Amino acid sequence: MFLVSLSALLLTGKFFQKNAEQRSIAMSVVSMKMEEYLAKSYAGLQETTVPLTGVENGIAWTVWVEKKEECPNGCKVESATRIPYKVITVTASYDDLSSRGKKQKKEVRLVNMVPYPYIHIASYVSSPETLPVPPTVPFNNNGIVTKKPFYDVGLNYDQLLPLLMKKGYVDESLHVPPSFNTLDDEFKSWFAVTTYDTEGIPQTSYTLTDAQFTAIENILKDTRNPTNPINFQNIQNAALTINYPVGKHLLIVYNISTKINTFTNIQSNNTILTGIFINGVNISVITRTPIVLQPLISNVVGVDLQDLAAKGIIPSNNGTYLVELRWNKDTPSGVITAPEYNFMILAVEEIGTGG
Amino acid sequence: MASAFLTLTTISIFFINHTSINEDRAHIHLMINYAFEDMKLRCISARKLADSSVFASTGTSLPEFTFEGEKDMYAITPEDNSDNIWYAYRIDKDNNLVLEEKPTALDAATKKEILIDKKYKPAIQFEYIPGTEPNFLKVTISAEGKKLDNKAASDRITKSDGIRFWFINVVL
Repeated sequence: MFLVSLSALLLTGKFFQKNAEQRSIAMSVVSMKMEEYLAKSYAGLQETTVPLTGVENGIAWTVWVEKKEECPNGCKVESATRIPYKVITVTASYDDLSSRGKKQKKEVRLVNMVPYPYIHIASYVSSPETLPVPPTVPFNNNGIVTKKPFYDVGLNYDQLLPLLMKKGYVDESLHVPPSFNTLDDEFKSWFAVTTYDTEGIPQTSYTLTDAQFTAIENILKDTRNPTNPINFQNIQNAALTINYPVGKHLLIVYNISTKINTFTNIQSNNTILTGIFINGVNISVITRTPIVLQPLISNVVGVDLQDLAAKGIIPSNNGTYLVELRWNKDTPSGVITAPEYNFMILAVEEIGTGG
Repeated sequence: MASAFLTLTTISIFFINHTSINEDRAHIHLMINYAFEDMKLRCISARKLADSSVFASTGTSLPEFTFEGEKDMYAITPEDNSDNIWYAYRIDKDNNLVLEEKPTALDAATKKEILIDKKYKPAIQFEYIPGTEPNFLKVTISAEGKKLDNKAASDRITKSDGIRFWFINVVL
């Protein structure tokens, strides 16, 4: 009886060993496939509509990649913050044999999550092969009137613009005529407020101060200044569109090599100006590089994107931002080109903003 | 009496034989798993490949893999190469699957660890599969054990796993 039981135990043990081996081989297959997919970048992990399948060492495997979203503040509202992530599911099926010789299909499954990347890089690098005709540095001194200069000095652009256009200081295309120099008394009278003192004598005051009138004059005259960023123009291909569901800080780096093709009348103090624009608004310090003495322009700009959008400094455009490098020169003289340049954005996740 | 003794002896031999088979195959699985774990831990911080261990993007299979990595695989210091050493996973001249340590890629081994003994006739293959990431390799190890039963197709146990590299690509 004892010996019969022992034999039965041994035979059962044989099936356990076989099944354990199959399970072990199946586990190594799912482990291998999981490693293969975890080696991919977030963008490189393509979501699957049908599972990927294959056979390895006699074990059939399947892989699913799904994109999901997590909403820190709940997903019910249309405008809720949605943080994407991807889920990889790897399954391997193997035959499990019972001691009575019955085959059963069993599975081992590994699931892993790939979070939304903390860092993104976008870049453009020019070369003589991709850009055989290098761009020429423009000279532009006919810029348009924009909101930001008024915002910066506490003036209401939306209220002032119609009045400036009515007076002819700004035309329909938002340009300032070259003849403009000062705001006249008639224009200033539109801001006059008449009050009466205790003796009934009228007193005139203005809703804008002299300093504010001067600021308006300077803003309008400045549109014709080539060093004003509104006169900067795009550099070919140095524009990258970014759209991240998670708030990011940006580090923007650019390098431009310049070549003087025509030297006529370029002075030693003439400069090339560059600046970063996001959704059409200049957000960075303007660099000025001497044309004659410095054939390389390099700059690094840090940007708190969410802060700029929250303050209304740049239009949000549903979280899509066009980041551009623009330039201008402060002299109409000479012809300068950029044989090579590069433009890179490093976007790093914000910390401590609560999503 | 004699027949009882004979029966007992037969069953004992049967018992010992199957225990031996189970033990043998379980041991092979353990050794292969250990080899994979060692590779995963050691290769992840690899800093440089030997010229003979670079793979083509069209897909290559190599019987050995030599690279420079951390001497202490738990202390990863990518900014400091002075604490690095060269490793090689290969079948040596005695047909053992070994992990060798050496001062440079071309030097002889100063230290050797046998991962799978020659008695199990181990084989190893490092493979880059086109379409996978350039920092990912598939490794297949096989070893010969006792047959689980006479119906078994082969007495070789073959397992594959993947290894990732943080700092380098393995593809030219």
